Amino acid sequence: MMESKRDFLKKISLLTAGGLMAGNFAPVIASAKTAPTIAGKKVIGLQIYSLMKELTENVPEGMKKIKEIGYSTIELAGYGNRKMGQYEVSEYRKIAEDAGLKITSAHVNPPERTYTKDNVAKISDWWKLAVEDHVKLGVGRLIQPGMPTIETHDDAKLVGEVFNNAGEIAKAAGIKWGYHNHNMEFKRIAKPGETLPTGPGAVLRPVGDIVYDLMMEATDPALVFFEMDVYWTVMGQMDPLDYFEKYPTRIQVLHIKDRSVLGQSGMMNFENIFKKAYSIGINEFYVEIEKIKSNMTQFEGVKGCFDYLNNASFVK
Amino acid sequence: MKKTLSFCFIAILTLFYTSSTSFGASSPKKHIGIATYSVKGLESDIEGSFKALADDGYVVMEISNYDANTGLVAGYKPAEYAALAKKYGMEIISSHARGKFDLKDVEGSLAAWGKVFDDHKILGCKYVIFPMNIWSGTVEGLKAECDLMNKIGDEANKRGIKFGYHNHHIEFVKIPNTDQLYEDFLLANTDPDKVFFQMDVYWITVGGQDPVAYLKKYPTRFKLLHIKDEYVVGATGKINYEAIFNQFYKNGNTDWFVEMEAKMTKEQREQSMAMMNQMKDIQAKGGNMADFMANMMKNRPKDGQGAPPLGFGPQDPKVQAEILKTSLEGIKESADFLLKSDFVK
Repeated sequence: MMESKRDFLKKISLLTAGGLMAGNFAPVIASAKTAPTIAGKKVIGLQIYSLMKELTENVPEGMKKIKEIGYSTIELAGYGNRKMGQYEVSEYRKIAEDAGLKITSAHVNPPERTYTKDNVAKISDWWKLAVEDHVKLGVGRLIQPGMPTIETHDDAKLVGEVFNNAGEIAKAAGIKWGYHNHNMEFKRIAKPGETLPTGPGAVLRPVGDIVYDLMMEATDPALVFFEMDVYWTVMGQMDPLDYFEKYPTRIQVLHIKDRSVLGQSGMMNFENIFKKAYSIGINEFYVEIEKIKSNMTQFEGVKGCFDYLNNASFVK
Repeated sequence: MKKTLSFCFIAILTLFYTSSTSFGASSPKKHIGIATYSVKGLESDIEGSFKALADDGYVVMEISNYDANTGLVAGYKPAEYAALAKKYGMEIISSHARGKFDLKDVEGSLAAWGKVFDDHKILGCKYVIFPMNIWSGTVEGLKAECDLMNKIGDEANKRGIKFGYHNHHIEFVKIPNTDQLYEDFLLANTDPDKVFFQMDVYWITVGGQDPVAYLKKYPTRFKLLHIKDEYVVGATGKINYEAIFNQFYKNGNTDWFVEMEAKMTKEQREQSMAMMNQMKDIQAKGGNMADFMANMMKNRPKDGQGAPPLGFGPQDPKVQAEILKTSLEGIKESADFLLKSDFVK
């Protein structure tokens, strides 16, 4: 039965006032050390980017399909201009909840990719609005997935300051703020005063510093966590387990991603990844899959990923 | 830091100049193999090492210590070395070796490889593999290099031996001004009857490519594997061994070898990877082995020797023994992982 949008929104605000939004209650935010379960079911999350237009072309139907597949939680993508596509953020949340899905996380990027002393204020203002909107969406985590320009140690420091500021804004609203990697963060930049030799004769090279580690060091553990995308970490030539070992409290969420459908390529050892992740207290993760190159639809791929994890003995 | 640079410099050198080495159980044995490149300090105690490998369960071996200059393996005549392995119940079926690879001297190159194959025929091994090359950066140059590979393969076939190429990650960069990866060009421009490929599953992953996708796309070209990880096989978040083995067996293959580097400190591993990535950058522009080696020598660490890298070079026998012991421990852990994996036949 269709109701007017105004009535619909009134109902939403009543619910909001009733304080059902997790975002308003800091203690409610999960810092659980035990794996969450829903009546014995595995809690498996999905980054909705994985569905691309197969979701956005019909969000209510798409959300129901996500739930039918077996996912419990979703991480959003596509926020912009204060909305989720065509939907107001509160509408969007209702659609997800009507489908039985909980929005627990979201990926958003500020418009600026290069940070300077001159634009940090603008970026901060942008985060204030993004946080406001994501409180309405009910997320526990707000995550930046795009890497800002980092060519020098000074760049890394400034990025750290901007991230800390975003973290403060989010924390004040009861949300955790974090950063998601791709593979470029594992590039090395020369230590200050050290030059990386170039040219045909330059075989031996100094090691330099890894940008990802500089980002860790430049950010305040109380304000910024990290969502490690394990596939992109491997593409960055790194072993996720090394990073779990090195930063057991900073890395709090995972993107479980493979070349395509989970478990089919030769590139990832998910058993070791999950075992090590659980051992450091990580129990929140989201499946992600890129544009599938074969005949398979994104929904089929996303189902294949769910089935792989649901059938895996090493996934709680 | 300087010691580490020296270590890595010499380690890289040996990658190129590598000439460095049945007690059957009553129950059916899994067919697991070891590349003896992994046994650091092997030549300080060959029989002890072979016994340890056999006890681990390894049944086939790939050597990397054939010396093309002398025609010997660790000072042994090829047939004697093979017999030594047989004494411990293992068969040498493959070898990483190199002969002259010079477009400016094709005749000399073929003669050199011919001798390599003659010696390996005596050894009784089935596969001889070119372990690493820096390839030309032009399509014309690459075509000529592939022709030379085919001619070398002809020489191998005459001796009843299969000639192959082993990848690192450098082959998975694009040929300049093209959208084609070096490895894909090599696969397309070498004759399947004359040149096969050994896939190193670790290095192809480091190169950002999927081992299973390549095994599916080229089911008859990849006849051997290097089963390799950061160190002990199966210990990291990288590599899906089950999917790799399943596809490899499905393609009709049976032979593969564990390969491990020396147990390194974090600093040594980082330096080693940095240098391998530098080689990848050089390959991205195209080059050749002779120039690469000359440049390496020109830019070697000024402090000269430093400590010899683990397992390479003359050293104090006590140090060698310690290095060998550590190396064999890691090799056993890899064997245990593979033996208990139900996807390994």
